Amino acid sequence: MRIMKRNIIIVLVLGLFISYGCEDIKLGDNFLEKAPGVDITKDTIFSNITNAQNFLWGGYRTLPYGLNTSAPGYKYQCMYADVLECLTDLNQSYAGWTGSTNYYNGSYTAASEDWHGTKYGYTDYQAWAGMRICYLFMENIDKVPNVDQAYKNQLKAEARMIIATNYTDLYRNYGGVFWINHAYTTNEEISSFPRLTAQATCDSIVAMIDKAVPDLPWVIADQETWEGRFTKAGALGLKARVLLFNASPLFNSSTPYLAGKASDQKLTWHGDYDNNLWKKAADAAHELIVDVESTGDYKLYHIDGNTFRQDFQGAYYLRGNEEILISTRYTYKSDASPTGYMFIASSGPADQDYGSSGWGCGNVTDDYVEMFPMANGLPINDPASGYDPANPYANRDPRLYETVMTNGDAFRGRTLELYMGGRERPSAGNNAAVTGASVRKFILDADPTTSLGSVIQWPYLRLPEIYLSYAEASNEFEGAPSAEAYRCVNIVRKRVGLGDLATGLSKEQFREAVITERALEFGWEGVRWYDLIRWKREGDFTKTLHGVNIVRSSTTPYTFTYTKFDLPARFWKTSWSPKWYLSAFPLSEVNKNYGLIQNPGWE
Amino acid sequence: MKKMEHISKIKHFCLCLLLLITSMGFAQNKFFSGSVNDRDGNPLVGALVSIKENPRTKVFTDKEGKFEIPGEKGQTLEITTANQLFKSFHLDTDKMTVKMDESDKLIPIGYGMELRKEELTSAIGFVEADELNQSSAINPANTLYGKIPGLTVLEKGGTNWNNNPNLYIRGVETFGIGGFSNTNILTIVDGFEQPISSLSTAEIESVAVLKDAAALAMYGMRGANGVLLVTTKKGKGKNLSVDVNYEHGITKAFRLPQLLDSYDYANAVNQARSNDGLTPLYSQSALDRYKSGVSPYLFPNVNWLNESLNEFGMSNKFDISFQQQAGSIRSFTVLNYENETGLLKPVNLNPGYSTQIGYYRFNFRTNIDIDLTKSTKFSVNLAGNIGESTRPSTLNDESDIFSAIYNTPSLAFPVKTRDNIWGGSSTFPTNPVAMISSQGYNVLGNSEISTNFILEQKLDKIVKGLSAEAGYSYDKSFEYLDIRSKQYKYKQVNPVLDPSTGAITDSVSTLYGNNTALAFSHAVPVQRQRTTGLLNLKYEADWNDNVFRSNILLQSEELILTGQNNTYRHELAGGNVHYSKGGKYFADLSLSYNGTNVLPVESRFGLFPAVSVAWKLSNEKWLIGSPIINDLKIRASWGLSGNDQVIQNISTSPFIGAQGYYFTANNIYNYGYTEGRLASTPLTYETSNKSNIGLDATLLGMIDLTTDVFYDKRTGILIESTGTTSGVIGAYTPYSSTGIVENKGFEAGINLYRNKGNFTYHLGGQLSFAINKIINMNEAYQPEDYLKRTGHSIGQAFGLQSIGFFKDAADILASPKQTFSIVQPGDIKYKDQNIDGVINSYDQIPIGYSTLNPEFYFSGSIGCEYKGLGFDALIQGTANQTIYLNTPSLFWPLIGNTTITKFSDNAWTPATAGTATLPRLTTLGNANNYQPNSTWYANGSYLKLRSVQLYYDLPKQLLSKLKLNKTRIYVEGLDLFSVDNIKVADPEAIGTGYPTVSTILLGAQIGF
Repeated sequence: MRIMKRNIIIVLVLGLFISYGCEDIKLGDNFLEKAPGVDITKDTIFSNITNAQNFLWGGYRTLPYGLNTSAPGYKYQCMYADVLECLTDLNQSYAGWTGSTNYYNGSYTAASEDWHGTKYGYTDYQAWAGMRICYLFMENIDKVPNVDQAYKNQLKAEARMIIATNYTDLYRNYGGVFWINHAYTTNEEISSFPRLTAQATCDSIVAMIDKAVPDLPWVIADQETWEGRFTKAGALGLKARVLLFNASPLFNSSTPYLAGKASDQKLTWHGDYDNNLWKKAADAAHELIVDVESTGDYKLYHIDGNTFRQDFQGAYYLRGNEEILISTRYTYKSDASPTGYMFIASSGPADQDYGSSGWGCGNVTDDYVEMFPMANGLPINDPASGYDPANPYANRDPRLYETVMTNGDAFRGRTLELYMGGRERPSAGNNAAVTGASVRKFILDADPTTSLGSVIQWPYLRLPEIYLSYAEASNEFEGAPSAEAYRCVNIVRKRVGLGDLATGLSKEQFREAVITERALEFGWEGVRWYDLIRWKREGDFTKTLHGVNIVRSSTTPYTFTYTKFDLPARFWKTSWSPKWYLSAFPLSEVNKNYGLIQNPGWE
Repeated sequence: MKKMEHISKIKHFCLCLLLLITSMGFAQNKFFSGSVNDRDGNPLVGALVSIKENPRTKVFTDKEGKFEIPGEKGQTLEITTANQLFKSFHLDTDKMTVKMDESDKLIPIGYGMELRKEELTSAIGFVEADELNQSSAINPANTLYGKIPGLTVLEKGGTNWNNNPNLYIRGVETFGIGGFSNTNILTIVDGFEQPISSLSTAEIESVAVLKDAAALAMYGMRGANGVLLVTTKKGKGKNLSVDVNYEHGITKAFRLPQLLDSYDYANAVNQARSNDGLTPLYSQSALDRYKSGVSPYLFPNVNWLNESLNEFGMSNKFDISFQQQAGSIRSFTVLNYENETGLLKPVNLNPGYSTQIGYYRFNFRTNIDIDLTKSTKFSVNLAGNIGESTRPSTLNDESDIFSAIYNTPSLAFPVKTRDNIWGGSSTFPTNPVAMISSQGYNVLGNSEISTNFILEQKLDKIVKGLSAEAGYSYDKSFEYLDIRSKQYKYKQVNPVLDPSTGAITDSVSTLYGNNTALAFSHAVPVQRQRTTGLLNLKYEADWNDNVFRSNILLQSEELILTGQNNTYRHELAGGNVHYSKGGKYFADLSLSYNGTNVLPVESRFGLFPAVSVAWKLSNEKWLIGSPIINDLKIRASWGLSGNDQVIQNISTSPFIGAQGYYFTANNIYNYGYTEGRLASTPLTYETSNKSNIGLDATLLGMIDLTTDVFYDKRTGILIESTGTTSGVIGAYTPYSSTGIVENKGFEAGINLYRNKGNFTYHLGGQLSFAINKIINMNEAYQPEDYLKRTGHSIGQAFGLQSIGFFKDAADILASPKQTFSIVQPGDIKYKDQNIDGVINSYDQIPIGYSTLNPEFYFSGSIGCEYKGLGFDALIQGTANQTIYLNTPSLFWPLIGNTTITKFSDNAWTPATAGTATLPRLTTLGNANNYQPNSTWYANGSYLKLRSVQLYYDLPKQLLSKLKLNKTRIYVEGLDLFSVDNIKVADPEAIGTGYPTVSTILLGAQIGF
């Protein structure tokens, strides 16, 4: 008995000991539950409208931005310090280490695609990331309480526009692509997303835009807070842009630009020429033109009392001006330090005031300078134009001076010295301004007290493009320029004081005039490259480009002599292939074997 | 504090328990007597002989190994020797002779349980205190080099007290991603998890390494990397015995680089500049001045190593331990103090404090076992330590100082200028001597306490052979950091020379910085708290020649590291069944069911089974009495084991703040959110499928042999899916638990031991081999087969293959184009592996072996003793390992304002083009030459003398006169030399950290 009792006591004590000692040690599933934390989950995001909107702003951040930026942010650099114009006949980069180098020397291949040294890094450029954000947003925004449906619909429409904009650039660089129609979930097969033909990709983008249009405001009512969000005008403008690309000969032709498996599957052309595509493009542009001209909310930027130059500068530079259809942003202001603002350091000339020798990314070709007509509207090779080769920069299209720094033009209250040994081109060893001209667009006068630190934007789509697109598309569809086509081109010319285009041009002459007009209006705005490829303008890729050596006389009054020289030949000059019209899909993606077909010539 | 209160409450309970329960008398019928001998027939003195049914009945064997004990026929007699040999049998005859050998060794198998080696069916390596003590070290992990087959211990460098070597059991068979390490092994001290570095060597009784699935099964989801079981000492001697140990050590840097003096450095720079097409930086007259040393202030020649380091450092170690077995209480107590003084030289320039690198630690431990009743045992282990290290107050750690010493050229500046201001320059930012002496000092203190309680209750009254055990462990440690930093003023002095004569006409000086007062700040960098509760129900029975043992275990544990988001919780239910028949056939079956909080709910539990069998052939009739094979057993095991070291919180996709957007022309920033990595699902623990075949044998009465062959396949390793998932998903690709690594190898240990009267000797050798192969890592597409990491071992070195140096411009023109930088004669010429005419990263091939761990790890030991005078030595080595020689200055000279060592003596010059082994010197970064390539991959094999000891034990007759037990004086050397291919640095630590050291120790042990 005694023993039994003792054992009972011991068992009791043992039990007490265990239950006491293991106070915070338990068995069971609850013990393994995660402790409460401060993690942000999807539920947190879509529990209130502020968080949800902030998620969408992250999507806005992925919109294309064509100026180079100082650091990889959400939107990575494109071609390092170079811009897309460096690959066209407008500009030659001399930096030697920037993205254009791989195109100049022909070393770009599928294996070297997809990083920020290429013109559009397939995944590096964050387009797909932006689309994912937007689909997640659309799939979840309805969970947010206390927001009226109309506003939710507007936000969804904005998300659609981010997707459509990113797809437009993917389309213009790659042709037909995989169509993402929902947010991918872990372990889903990529093949659940369809790979579309070029035409279907365009149709999907247009359908996406059409779905967004009814829910978007025509203009942003609260300009003070929300200027820069997508509008209906922007949506219609984007539609016009993508349809024009779609109608252009790169895809709309009786023969593919290059044979290959992708061409066989109509991923990189439409299979035949269809004149009606031009009509669709023209109609889309004209719909917007009619709306614009009937409401009066949008027009080409002009302030009474401004010079032509001031009007043109304001048109591309000022946020929220009345001709901006889609504007994208990276920072609030251009960097206040001259060398810190990458676009100046990389593209500007030597800047002795601020100790920068310039990297030489923005060396303007003389071929571009020569494209600008005289202020009277006549091309410089017209004997009646009044062009003086000994004083080549006098009395030119005002857009020349706002786009390019030319020798002798006003700058920081003095004159630009682009001659050899001048302030802007101090030594022969410099990479900057080697062509005798340098970019001015977006740089203005690069003065910390005035232009630096001012609010900056990337004018992704401006109204003049719609006018010119209509002119181009209707000319192609109708076979000759109509009066309305002339009117549209002349609206653009008139803003900078140029006279009307000569009448009686043939279809081809008019087309050429429009393409040139686009180059003059949209230099450094990422338009020229796509114009060259959609028209398969091989000649512009293989021609010899020129610079000018400017020599100042040794005695006063100073005179200048201008000597043209050939720029270093690009690989394309001798070894051009149509494959360069579209980018290669990165080899790493192709080799994941989910059905991605390489673009022609890059296999 | 609250926890401490709990502990004290628990103590109260125990005291009450003691008072409540009175002991109990019982009948004793008869006396049994016998003698206990070792296998050579020598008597085993002081062995504990007891009756299992009545644990208070116990005696110790006398000088002849004889004992006499009261008992009843049929009761179980248990014999435990001082060195943990154990035998038990039913009392039968009145007189008995018991022979005990290695196969009777008690081997811990985890959760406080032990089995005789003979009964083991699993692969367990084992080492005891005697052997560990031959390698004195602050961190006991550093006594394990080459001690246990299958355990790879790799020195990482650093000070002796921060030196946590990398421990791998049977190599490596998993890899972390994104910098997350998942190769850690589990270390268990007395049944509960605790870092081995918390202990002092004096506390440790034995270390066991669990290697195969059968041994690891009960550790379920945490065992796949292997488990280290540390057992601390218990009271076991008959009388109170006191052991005192004192050791004084002298440390010396193992190897230091030979930095060039000013003249040679200047010549090297001129040579490099000439190679680069630049004008010489040092004129002939400057060179002459550096050589002659006539202007030590303007043309200094400072040996920064000599100025910064003493030849010797110092260490002291003192411990005293008490143990006793008195009545129903057994206790062991140790107090251990050790300190170490570093190698820095200019440490006493400040009144009131020293800036020496130094350390002290005080450890204590009390282990008490109390037989509360004849069926109740209560154990308390209470241990802790406090320590403190000091060092100059540099930004990171002592590597800042050594980086400065190794990288500052001799001619950079004098230690002090003529007017007694620290020398310095704008080019070379740090004056090592000033850095040591004049930046203040940091104190990093740590304290740690760990306790565990185990209550064991026999429940024979309910079911014969049933017993229950409850355990609780609590362990807490924290560190505090006191920073007392200041800045110093330094001065750059440049000579002004007469342009025509070259004579010194003047000097120009610039002052930098300021002498400031000490600034104080502090932090608590690390805290750790671990709580574990354990219930263990055991049942054992034997009938005829059958033995059956089983247990069921429940365990729950929680670890909180600094911050609540670092909470790790585990729970486990497991069981083991052991059966043997006739001492010939053994079988074990284990099963454990585990849960972890680091995994999502659907995969956080796992089941881990293991089976193992053994056949003791030497107990078969046809082998008993064989003169050659005394003992022979073969073992086989198979089972699963898991590893739950995966990154936390990845089973859902987090949302994180991101770059926002600027609308309007006003400065309104609209914050952005974005999604983090996609949810990694299904997410699971790693599973290692382990098979093992082993053999244990004793041959010729003196050779013990054990060998194992294993094959493991690890699946479920967390890997990237970037390489296989399309970028069009627009998200950070999820990790996936689909990595597979195969690991196979063998280990063998052989020991020869002979005891012939006054002369004993032993010889031992161990060899471990493990080679792993990546089967799947979702590797991205590689354009060439040889670029693939899959199929190679984890950490395999990859690089370009050097095929010599460019001879001249024609050679460059005729060779494939190298794309890393513009090459010139003297630059490394690479082989164009894919023959595409271009050398780029697609020409990298596997070179040598893994840089992570060696394939072979081996050691050899030898020892002998004659009349108390003895000698022991241990050598240890590795083979099939590759080292990447990329340390600036030491291997990569002059780039980025660093210096140059003798290693670069054989750099290419136009004159030595034919025989050079290294590329041309350059002061500019040379992207071509410093690509990962075969020039910089070296054979990392080495053979080191880990320890050598000479000792003298005072003769027993003298001891008994002095009433002393074993008393010894000894001299010992640690890490004295190495045979290797690196030669200019310790092959185990080639960086610019605190140097590894060789140590000479003088010590004395007194026991009474």
